[in-house]
Amino acid sequence: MKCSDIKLLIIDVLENPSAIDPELQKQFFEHIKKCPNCADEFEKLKALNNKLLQVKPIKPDSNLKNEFSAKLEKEKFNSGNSLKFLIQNSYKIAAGILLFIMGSLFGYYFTQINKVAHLRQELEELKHSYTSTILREQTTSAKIKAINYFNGKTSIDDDFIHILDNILNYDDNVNVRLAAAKALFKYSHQEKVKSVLVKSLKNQSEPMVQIELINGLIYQNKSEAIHYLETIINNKNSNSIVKQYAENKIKILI
Amino acid sequence: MENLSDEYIMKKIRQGDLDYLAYIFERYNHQMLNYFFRMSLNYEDSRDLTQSLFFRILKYKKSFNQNMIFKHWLYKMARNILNDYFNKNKKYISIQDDININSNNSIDQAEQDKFLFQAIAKLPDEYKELIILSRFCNYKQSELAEIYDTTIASIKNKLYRALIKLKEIYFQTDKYGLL
Repeated sequence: MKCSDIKLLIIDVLENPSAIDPELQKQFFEHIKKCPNCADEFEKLKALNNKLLQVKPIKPDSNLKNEFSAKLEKEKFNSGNSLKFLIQNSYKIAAGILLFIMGSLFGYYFTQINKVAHLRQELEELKHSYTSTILREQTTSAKIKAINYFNGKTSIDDDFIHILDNILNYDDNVNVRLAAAKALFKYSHQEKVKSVLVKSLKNQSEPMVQIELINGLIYQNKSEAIHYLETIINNKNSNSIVKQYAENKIKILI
Repeated sequence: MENLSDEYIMKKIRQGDLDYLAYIFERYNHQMLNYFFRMSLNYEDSRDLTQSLFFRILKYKKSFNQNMIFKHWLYKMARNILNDYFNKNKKYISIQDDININSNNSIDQAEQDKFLFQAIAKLPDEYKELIILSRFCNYKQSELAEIYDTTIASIKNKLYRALIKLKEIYFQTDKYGLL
């Protein structure tokens, strides 16, 4: 065995000599006996190693454990079940809260939409009822205001057509009749309204209203207008001023 | 509880049962206190480092998995704590004269240990840690090889060189001529 082999074996001999092959161990100690350098090194390392192993480990003082236990209790308290639950399920809780908020918002939104639609419907019914009442029973100015209610509406129902028809032909005040005529002309694209207007042209007792009707109808359909004007001209009961107005108009059209 | 493996106890800690940390503390506080003390030569700081180590287990419990060996994982964490401590305090380089080795030791023994630890403190970091882990913290060669991610033969070689270096330093300071 060489000196370099001794260096490789020294740690094993110091730490666990029984684990070394007996033959190797024998050769190791034979070399040590013969080689003063290796013997010196081995003895010094052995003494140093023994000294290291003799060092008594320091003993923790009793407070170390007490302090640890106190800290652990505090830690357990801080990470109690509720907190642990919150942490472990934080994403679920967040998702739940989000869903709840979204659900509430959607619910609120759709409820509001329904409410608004319902209110609009109620308002329309109220306006309808209020207007029809005024048109039947109130004063001239109130009736004219009520007729203005039709501004902005795209169509009118049969009930209002009937009310306006009555006003156009039978109301005591010519201004109210004229307002009704103007209101009806806005819906003259509705066949029923047109029919009311044409019929009124024949039956109208107020010349001013007749002239208004002539002006309104002749610009809608030229052939029909000529027919309307001829009806007035040929009617014996027609007012002379209105007849004259119709004759002038028909000359323009023909 | 004595029969439970470290790894099983860690599994329970991971599951949130913090009471199991006390068992780990019982098993390793002595060893880790010695490691910190032999490395830092400051008993009070070693106590604090030991406390920090065991509560760091809670902080990083999720990083431990069943394929790991707890003792190795613990040591690596202790080493990180110690590095932070040295970087923060710069006490690593100072060799304290008032080393309080152990109140249970005799004065003569304390004096002898003082010289020995002064010699150890002068070792290069790698050798110093190897001596401390193998001789004061009972780490076997196979465990050291795992920790340092090397072979047992390499550990033996390093231990040999560490002892040779320590012998040289100690001879210069061995006033008692004990060797």
